[in-house]
Parts: sequence; structure tokens; C-alpha cells
Amino acid sequence: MEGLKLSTSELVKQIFQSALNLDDDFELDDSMRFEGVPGWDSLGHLRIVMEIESAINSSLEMEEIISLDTVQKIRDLVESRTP
Amino acid sequence: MNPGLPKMPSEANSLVSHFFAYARNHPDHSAFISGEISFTYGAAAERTAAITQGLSKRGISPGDRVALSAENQIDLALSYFAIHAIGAVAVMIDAKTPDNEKLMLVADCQARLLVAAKNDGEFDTPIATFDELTSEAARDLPEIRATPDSLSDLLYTTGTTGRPKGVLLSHANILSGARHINAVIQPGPDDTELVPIPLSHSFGLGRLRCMALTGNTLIIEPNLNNAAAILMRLLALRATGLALVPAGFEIMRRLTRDRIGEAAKTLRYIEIGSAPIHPDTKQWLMDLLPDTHIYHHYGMTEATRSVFTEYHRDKDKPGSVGLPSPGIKVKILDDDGRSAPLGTPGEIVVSGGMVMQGYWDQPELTKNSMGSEGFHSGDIGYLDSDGYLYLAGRKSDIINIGGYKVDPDGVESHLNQCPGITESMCVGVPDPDGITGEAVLAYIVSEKEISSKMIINSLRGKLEEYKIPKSFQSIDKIPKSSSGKIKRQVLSGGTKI
Repeated sequence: MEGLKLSTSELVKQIFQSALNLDDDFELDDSMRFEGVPGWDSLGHLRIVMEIESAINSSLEMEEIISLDTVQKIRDLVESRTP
Repeated sequence: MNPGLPKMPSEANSLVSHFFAYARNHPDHSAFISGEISFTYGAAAERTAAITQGLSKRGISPGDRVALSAENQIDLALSYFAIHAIGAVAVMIDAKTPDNEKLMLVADCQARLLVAAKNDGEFDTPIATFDELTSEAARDLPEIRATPDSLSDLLYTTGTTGRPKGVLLSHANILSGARHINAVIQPGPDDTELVPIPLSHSFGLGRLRCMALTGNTLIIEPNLNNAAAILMRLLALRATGLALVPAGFEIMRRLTRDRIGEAAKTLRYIEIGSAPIHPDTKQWLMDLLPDTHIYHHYGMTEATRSVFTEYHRDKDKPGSVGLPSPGIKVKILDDDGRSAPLGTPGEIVVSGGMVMQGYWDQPELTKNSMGSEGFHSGDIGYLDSDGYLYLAGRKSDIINIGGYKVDPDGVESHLNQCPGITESMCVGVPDPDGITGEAVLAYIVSEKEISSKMIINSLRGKLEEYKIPKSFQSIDKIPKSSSGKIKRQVLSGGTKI
């Protein structure tokens, strides 16, 4: 949204909610791995990657895509790639 | 330990006999790779013997059903062979199956034991973990008690009656099936094949069976469910074979663009199956892997893989699913049970040594499916003058989500329990994202305003993720026949939820 900068936490939560249709009150914990988040299967992973790429406005490399298996790693990546 | 020779029938007339015979003759050959772990055939045979001993100690004997449910891992494959060695029947259950359904399947087949990686469910049936079964090394390799006519596998597949169908396969069936597949793909002992698809399903299990006949190396790893990670493992291990469903390639194409082309010099063959592939993805594979044999099968749990196309060979037959494997007969029958003329659609009927024995505890269903001409698939198709098979629809309402078969009745029964929903109807529609071929569209009659997110989250944990509808439409009433049966169809109108 123009003029409203989300914090990294809000952005990560939005990425997961958009990609996986999570409940609004779903508590996303940094330590969660993919098997602990509903809908984070191979298709869910594609959607998460697409949401991240849209949020940071650039493409991810294959090695980056593979490494994203926890909420923490996604947070770190989003933080490092957000202007 | 020096376990000596396994006691086997004079000729290897089962896959498990082939597995042990290969291990005896090539003990140092690589059998399995899983992450940092690798097993030679000799080590795999010894561990299989330990599992067999563990099963015997728990009273498992020939004919007993033993449920096996775990993510892909070496012990899952070895437990499958151990169950066969003892003469018991392996009941493969996807590890991702919700507990309520797992409970139902274990009860339905009257399993004597559930074998799993962890003991974390609440079942009436005793559970043994891989660690418990392998806690003692075996003194000897087991006596192989499998006979060609005895049952080897009970594999549940989706039915339309609300009750899953338990497909019964004999040792002769699975040996014949593996031979038919190998006759087409022709893997060799030097092949290293990556199998990221679940061994608990017919396609993945078929790759394990073929391995027992070939003596090649399988890469099977838990949690390899990220298409980019699959490609990375393929490249890192210089795998020469790969088995994957079309949706896996579709995701791989979007995530990794053209990098599968880096495997062009090493990847000798691919087997694709369980669902149709998008033409663009097919072309992408052909362009990037010009020298790889890319096989796509048409098959069913009841008759393994019956028909294969090879993309490069059959480039002039773009809509066909291919030719029957050597030794397999495919007929097209009209409504009167007579052979349909070439080019005329009818029911696809398959015969050969791999066709199942029947359905577990469902004699009427067995009788209706097994005719004198072979197994009646329920799929509609036609043959051209070169013998190529083309699919033209199906008789049932089953929805194919990237290779997973979904019974709409089963989804509706869960939908109807969601707060606010009074009735529902599910149909298969083209996947709006173009990944899984079909997707579930749910028509909802609700007594209050309800969001798709609310519905999705109330279904989670009760249904497998792929069964959850991708889109929802609100309608006033569900179309029904005069007898009250749902007239399943795609409707125009309704309001998107």
C-alpha cells in the first residue's frame, strides 16, 4: 500500500497469509519449519516464493529457494532484501 | 555378522527373492542414498533381515496385514521387503493421511501391526517403530515365504462409494508389473534414480519394485517436497533417473526456470505419471533434455503402469498416452462389451499378469471391475490405427489433483460439517494456477456469510491439503435428481466466495 511501510514481521505474516490462506489469528513463530505450517507443501512453497518475489520486487536464486525451510530464514531473507 | 545365504525358493519368483539374490551376488553395490546415509545391497539385506526378525517376534505370519506409514526413508523401503519376506501383506498408507482416516484404513484391513517412524498416534492396533524393529541384528537372512500366488500388497485407492478400495496384489502381480515397466524404461544396475514421490503410492512403490529387479541405486529422502531441492539433489548426485508427477515439473519450471537443462548430460531417463502434463511443460522438458528418455505412463493401482509414451519418440502423437507395455493388452469396449472400432471411444480394459486379484472385502466391486477381457478401468478412450491410446474422459466423478485422486463425496461430507454450511457439491475444474491439472471447485449453500479462508481453515487437519477446494461458489441450492442424488456438474452463475 502506497505510503504505508510494513515492518518485516507484518510483511512476513502477510506473505504467509496470502500464500497459504492462513487464519488471521494463526501465530507464526520464527522457529516453525515447513511441516509445522498448514499448507506449506511443495505447492505452498511455490506460492510463498512468488509472494516473496513480489514483496521484494526481485527474483530468488535456486539456492535461496531451497534454503527457505523455516519462518526465520524467510524473515532474514525478506529483511536483507527489502529496501 | 555373516548371515549366509537366504533360504529361497529354487528360482527367484518374487521381487523380494530378487532383492536378496541381488544382495547376495552384489553385496557392495550401492542400494540406497538418503541424505548423508547410504546403504549397499549387503547392508540393506542385513537390515531387512533384522526387520523381518522384529516382525516375527511380534507374531507376524504369512497372510497378516501389516500397515506401513512413514515419509520416504530407507527403512520404509526395507520394511516393505521384510513384510514380503515373511509372507505378510504390506498395506501402504501415506504418512500425510490425517489420523482419523489412517485409523479407518488400519481398521478396515484388520492390520495386525502398524509400522511407522514414530509412535505418535492413538491406534487400537499395536505400533512398532523402525528403531524397535531393528534393535537386534538378525542372525540369518530370512526364509522367503512369499509365493507367486500369495498376496503381497493391499493398496488403498480412492473410491466413489465413500469407502476406499483396497487393491489386492499378489507377488506374481508385482513381479509382472515391474518386468513390464522395466521392459519400457530399461534401467540398469549403474543407474542412480531419484524418487521424491511417496513410496506409499502406486507410482513411487513401482519404482522401488523395479529397483529390486534391476539392482540400481535409489535416492529416497524424507521431506524432499520442494521442487528446487529435488533439482538440486538431482544435479548434486548426478542422478541418471528421476520419477516425478507433472505438478512437480510444473513447480520446478516456475521455481528454477531452465536449470534442469544442467542435467541434460547425466539424466538418462525420467518416468512421469499419475496425471496429464501441461503441453508447455512437456515441451520445456523436451527442449532442455533432448537426449533423455522421457516416459509418461498411463496406469492405475489395479494394473500398475499399462501404457507408456516417450515424448521424443512420440512427438507426432501429441494427444496420446502411448502404447501398451510389451505383454499388456489394452482393449476398448463399447457399452455392450464388444470391441469398439478404431477411433471410437469406449471403456479402457486392461489385461496382463500385473492386473490385481480384486478389492479387499468388496466382492461385488471386484465382480463389476474384473471381466473376462480384463480390468475395467472406468476410463474412456480410443485406439488409433498404430495402436496408440488416447484418453477421452472417465465414467466416475473422481477428481485428479496432480496425481492424487479425490472422491468429491468425501470432501462434501467434511464441507457439510463446517459451521454455516448446509449443503455442498464438489466438481473437478481446470486448475486456475495451471499446476495440478485439475482442482476442486466447491459449490456451497450456506445459512450465513462465510469466507473461503474460514472454510479452508476448518477443513485443515481433517482433509489432506490437496483435497481442500481451491475455489468456492455460493449458490441457492444443489442440483439433485428426483431420487435426491447430487447431479454433479459445473454450474454457471453463483457468487464467488
